[in-house]
Amino acid sequence: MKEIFWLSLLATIGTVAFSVIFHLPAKRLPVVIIGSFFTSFIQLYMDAEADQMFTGAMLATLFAVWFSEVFARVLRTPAIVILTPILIPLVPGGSMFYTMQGVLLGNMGQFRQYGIETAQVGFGIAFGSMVATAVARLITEGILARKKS
Amino acid sequence: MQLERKEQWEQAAVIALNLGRQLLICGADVKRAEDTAERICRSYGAQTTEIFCIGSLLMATVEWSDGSTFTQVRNITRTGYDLARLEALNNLSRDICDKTVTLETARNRLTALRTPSAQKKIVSYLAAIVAVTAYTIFFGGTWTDALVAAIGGILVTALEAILPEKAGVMMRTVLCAVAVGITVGVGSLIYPALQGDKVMIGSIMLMVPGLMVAGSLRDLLNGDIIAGSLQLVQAVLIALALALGLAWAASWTVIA
Repeated sequence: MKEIFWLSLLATIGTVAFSVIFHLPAKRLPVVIIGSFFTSFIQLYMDAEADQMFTGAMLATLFAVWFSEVFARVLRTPAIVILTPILIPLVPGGSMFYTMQGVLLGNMGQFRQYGIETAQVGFGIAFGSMVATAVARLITEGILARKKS
Repeated sequence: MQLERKEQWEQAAVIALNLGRQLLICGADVKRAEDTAERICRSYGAQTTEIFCIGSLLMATVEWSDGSTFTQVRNITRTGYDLARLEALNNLSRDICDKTVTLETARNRLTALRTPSAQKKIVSYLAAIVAVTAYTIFFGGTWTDALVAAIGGILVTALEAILPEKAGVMMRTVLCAVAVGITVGVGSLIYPALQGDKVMIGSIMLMVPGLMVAGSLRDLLNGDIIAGSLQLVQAVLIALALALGLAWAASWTVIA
């Protein structure tokens, strides 16, 4: 648990740096820091405890999207402004690298193993983002409809 | 009067398309660009709007209340994320839809927002160093690996600033990867215990198209097959360019 905490902290530091590279407005940084820490914590915890890359990426993305949607409404900014840096710790940089290395070395075993890992995380993020966005939209439309009536 | 209204409609549609284009350039997803352009056109009385976007192309046909139509296309070259500009563009679109700004003011604000957000060079380099260092250790590297990765990060940032946009994403990616590969190769010669793979993974976090892969898969799952496929192909090509650059440079350095 202690290692997961430190790794999440490291990922959050990386996210802050990426936020600067992406020109994130400084006033949005505190929200991004909190969101990034919990997003990477969820993924790392699921990965370590349950060995579930797809589920870990999906749950972390569900949290990231809902967190962004809520704070986007509170801060009156597009959700993508908060979401983009928060998702950085989920990027499967290592798996992608080893997949491509497998291709270049002609090592099909390595290519298959890391290719599947990359796909699992990629689909986890995509699926989580799709489900979370759809639910957030349904809730928003429900609130708007209730306000109108 | 009718002529004046037509001019206003046309102006609103042009602003809607230009704003959608700028949103895409700043990193917004295709749905947001389509949605924003549609909202602006509708707030100015469009009867029907057909807006289609595939990432590098934004196309709109708008039908007004008198039956006249307006069609225009925008070609888009994405350059990366500019979240401050994206937020400002979103505020502008909100103001246009709420009619709190005139079209003239909106056009002027949009023109001002075409310029990318400024950043001091030292800030860019420091951010790259911190990002690369943090992710090298995150992926299992040591402090020595992180130090070499930081040099790689500085080179990538410098090359991205020097290389012209016209060189193309692939060429820029290959050259940045070559720089990282050479750094790792030289680093390995000086310090044989260096974990080259960790250094490379940390350094290429600045270029790896991870968010692009996730975005493309989301588009595919949402049924936007063309936009998703195009983005996925681009992401795979960037990843291959990265791998090729790294492999070539590392092997060349080791042989030398």
